[in-house]
Amino acid sequence: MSNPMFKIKISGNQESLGSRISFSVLAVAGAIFLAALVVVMYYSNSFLIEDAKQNVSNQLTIAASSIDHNLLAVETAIENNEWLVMNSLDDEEKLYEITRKIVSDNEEICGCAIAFKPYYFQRRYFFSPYSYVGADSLIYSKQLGTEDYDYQFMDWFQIPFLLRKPVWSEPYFDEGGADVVMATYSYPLIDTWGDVFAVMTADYPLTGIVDLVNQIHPYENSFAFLVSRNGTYVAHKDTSLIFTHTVLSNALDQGYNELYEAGLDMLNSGIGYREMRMKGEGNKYLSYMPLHNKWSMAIVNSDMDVLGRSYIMLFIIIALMVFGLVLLYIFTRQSVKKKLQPLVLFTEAANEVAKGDFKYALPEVKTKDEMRTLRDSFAYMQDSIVKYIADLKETMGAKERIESELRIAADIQRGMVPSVFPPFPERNDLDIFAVLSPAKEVGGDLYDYFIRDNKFYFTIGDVSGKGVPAAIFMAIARSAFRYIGASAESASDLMTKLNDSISQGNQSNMFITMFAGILDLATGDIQFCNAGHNPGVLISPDGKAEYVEVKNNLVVGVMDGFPFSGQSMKIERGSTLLLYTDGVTEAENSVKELYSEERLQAFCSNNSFDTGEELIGALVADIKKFTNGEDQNDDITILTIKLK
Amino acid sequence: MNQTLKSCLYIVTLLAVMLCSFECFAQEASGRSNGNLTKVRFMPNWMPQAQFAGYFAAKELGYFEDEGLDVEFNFISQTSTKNPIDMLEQGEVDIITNLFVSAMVAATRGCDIVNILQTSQKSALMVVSRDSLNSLEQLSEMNVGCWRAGYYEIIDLITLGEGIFINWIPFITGINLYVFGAVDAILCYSYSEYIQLMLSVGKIPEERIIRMENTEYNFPEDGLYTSSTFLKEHPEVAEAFVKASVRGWLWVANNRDKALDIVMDVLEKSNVQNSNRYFQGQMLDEVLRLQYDNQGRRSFQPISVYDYSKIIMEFRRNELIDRYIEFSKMIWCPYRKELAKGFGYE
Amino acid sequence: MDVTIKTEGNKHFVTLNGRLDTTNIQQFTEDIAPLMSGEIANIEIDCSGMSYTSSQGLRSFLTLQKSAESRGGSVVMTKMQPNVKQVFDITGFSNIFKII
Repeated sequence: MSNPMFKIKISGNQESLGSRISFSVLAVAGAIFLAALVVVMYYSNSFLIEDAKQNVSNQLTIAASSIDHNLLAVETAIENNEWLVMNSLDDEEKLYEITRKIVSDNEEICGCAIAFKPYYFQRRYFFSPYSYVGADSLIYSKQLGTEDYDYQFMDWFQIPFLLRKPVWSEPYFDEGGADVVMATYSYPLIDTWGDVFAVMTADYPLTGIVDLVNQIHPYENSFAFLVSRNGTYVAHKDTSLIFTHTVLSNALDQGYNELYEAGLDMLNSGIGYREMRMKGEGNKYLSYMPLHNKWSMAIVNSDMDVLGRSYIMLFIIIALMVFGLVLLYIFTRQSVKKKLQPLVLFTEAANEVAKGDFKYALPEVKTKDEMRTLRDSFAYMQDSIVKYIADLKETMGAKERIESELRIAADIQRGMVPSVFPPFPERNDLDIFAVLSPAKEVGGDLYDYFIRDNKFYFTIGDVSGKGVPAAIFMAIARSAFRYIGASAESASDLMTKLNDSISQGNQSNMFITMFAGILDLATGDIQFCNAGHNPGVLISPDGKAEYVEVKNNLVVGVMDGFPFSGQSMKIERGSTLLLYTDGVTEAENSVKELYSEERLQAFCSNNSFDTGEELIGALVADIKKFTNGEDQNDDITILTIKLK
Repeated sequence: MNQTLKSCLYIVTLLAVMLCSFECFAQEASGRSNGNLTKVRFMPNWMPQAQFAGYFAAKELGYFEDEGLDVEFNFISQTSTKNPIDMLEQGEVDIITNLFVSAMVAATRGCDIVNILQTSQKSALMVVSRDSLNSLEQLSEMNVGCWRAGYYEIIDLITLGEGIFINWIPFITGINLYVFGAVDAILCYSYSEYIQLMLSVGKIPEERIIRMENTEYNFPEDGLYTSSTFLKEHPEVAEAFVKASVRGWLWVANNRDKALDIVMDVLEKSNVQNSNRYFQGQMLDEVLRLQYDNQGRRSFQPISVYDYSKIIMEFRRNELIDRYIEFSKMIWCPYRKELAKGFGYE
Repeated sequence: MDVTIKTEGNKHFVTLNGRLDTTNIQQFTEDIAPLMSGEIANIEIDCSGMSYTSSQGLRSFLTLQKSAESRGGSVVMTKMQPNVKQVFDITGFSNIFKII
């Protein structure tokens, strides 16, 4: 009891409990924070995008109306001079004059022409007075139409001519000037029959508009672009697109489907807003609206622009969250560790108790919680162990006492059964051998014999039961056999008196099966009496083995006054009478087969021995072989009597 | 004077004369030579674009040089009224590209022009309408945009052939007439204006389109032409030019991206500013498609006698031309077998 | 050993099933304890299901018999299996018990 079976390790376990709890708390808290964060971010971002959309839309509207205002100014300038032209239709000089006036009066107009359809003006094929601002800022005039420049097939003439409506041309580079991007407003003059006879034009440099567009930056990375009526880029952040791409060709080239869709809408003078998912670039947002002259303008801004600040905030929140969670983790761990402190003390206490110190004081727990309960249970366990050990000591002591007494009883009993062989060495007409093998330390079988008046008195018996009670009964029976046998006249007389003696006052209701006999050593006559015992085997000198026919009477010890009937027989010299108890015939093997009377008889028939000792030895071996290691469940007693 | 001296002088003079004439002969034989290469003045029938990618590649990759040619590209300008056929006739250029029908009609008018290579095997001409268009007949009384410069022949043929009156509106270039709604329909080429249209107004439903390819007016178009005089004097130059051109086109067909690089390079060098790589790529794809014959092979075969006769008779019947030109006078192709195998460059 | 006791009128009807040996003699003693006292002292035991009895079993029956007789009753054992009857015969208990 002094060596502990195991020692509870203090290190490691407690730490990991604290850590595990902290991790769980951390994980749950983290998950909750994240979920909340995601929701908040989602809604906040939606609002931001909505706001941006509104903001961009506003800026777009303002810019568009500013541009429209400029375009309208040009249109007005031309249209206001229509009446003047109409009144000067045959005055070549006057017409030149008008073009000059328009150019000089209007800063934004850098060229003006009045192009007549072929053969209209004085039957001349070409007639197109034209004035323009030269590189030196002076105004020059000239005839526009030449052999190399047949203006009737130029878009600026032909389109308003066919449509009978004023038209803004597609933008172009002014070849004469310093690479200025221009557009021309063409205003058809219609005669009384409704046909177009001339087209008034104003050349308008688009630098102002392009600059305005390029300066639109509602957000850091956002920009605006401008496309003409057929989709050609007029202004764009990426100047390589200008004049080379249309919005559709750009969209197809880059694979931006949403841009393509938006482009189609823009070309149809649509107003709209689209989200564009660009591979690897995040989301972009496109807001567009048409201009007065059927061109279209759009503003592009990106996720980062609109949500940039929001992402910064997100970053900060996440950083704070991580910091907070770390603190939470540390705090939880410390707290848990502190609360679990008593466990350390309990562990120490358990180790001490295991070592044998049952009185070791348990740590005090002041709180009324699970720790308290644990402490109380522990204390109860401690008390129980103490008590149990005390009980155990007492029982062990008692058991030892009983066992020692049993050993003494066994010794006494062994002394009561004759064990010296040969018992009558001086006689040579009697071969006696016996063996008594008890099932328990003290058994209930008995055998005994003595010689009186040249007669051999013998008995064998089996007490009902085992252990000390059977042994006591057996001792009484053996004593009675000797005492009564000393004066009995016959076997039946002996048995009757023996039965009376034992039956009287027999409260235990134990009984003995017995076989007693008196062998006349001179004649070979045997008087015998059987009291419920197994009949013995008579082996004649020629080796034949037969069971003795016995009357059963009644077992001894049951009924006081029972008259036992005796029997007699005569045996030849050289015969052996083998007596046994049912421990022999009822010896069991592993499959619950019994050794049986048949086997015993067969053994006796098939074997012959010179001495009883040999016979018994071989028989015991045979029984052992038969039982093959099974526990002996009854006393085995064998007695051989050979008359020589 | 000494007899020996006289003989020497005589011999020396003779040698000198021989050397000179030898020199002249050499020069003569190799034409206008530039070192070892013969100079050829080449004029494609439009401004630089992917339509001529094969020739650009032949120049860039040195195929022309391999054949001993130093090719000078002369491009027409956008607004110029000069015509490659006129330039050829006037001797200003040696080899041009042009449309088959234009060349044929010019030949019947007395122009000295001979086809030496037929790259396009199908018509690229299309009519795109603002409304649904099922037959050319529907063009009656409509305003239809057409090019001011060139291809009258087909326009006249359609008008007469269909027996309808079409109000042709000539334009110089571009598709704005259509985009602005000033015409009901417009003629365009599948490799240029049609692509431009789609990039300005989006995809056009097929029911508003007629492709000449699918009609009886499916005449082959792009090809190389030179004068019979040039051919007489320098047949080997013509053959060399054709060989290098075929080699160039075959390379382009297999190296789309690199070919586009070359095209964009030429555009930049020629200061053509209003195009982009995507558009040129689309053009290139279509031009290459037009080079496939009915068996799906890029065969570069000249027009067959049968088709030639059919076309010329069609024009004659409509009194658009006043005489026949024999097939053999119009088509020069002594290398049919090699051509069929792509001169081994396939 | 299964012991079933039915009491009808002034007789206990007992049914036995199984073996009676050292292992269950204690239980058997407890099972028949109700029969060892009380007014009813006539006991009929159906032994058709009893396959074996040891000497301790015999002793228990003897105790039961003595108890019944002391109260003016008797024990009758019926339908005993042959091998069990043999034990009763050999020990002479057949003379003490009423066996039918």
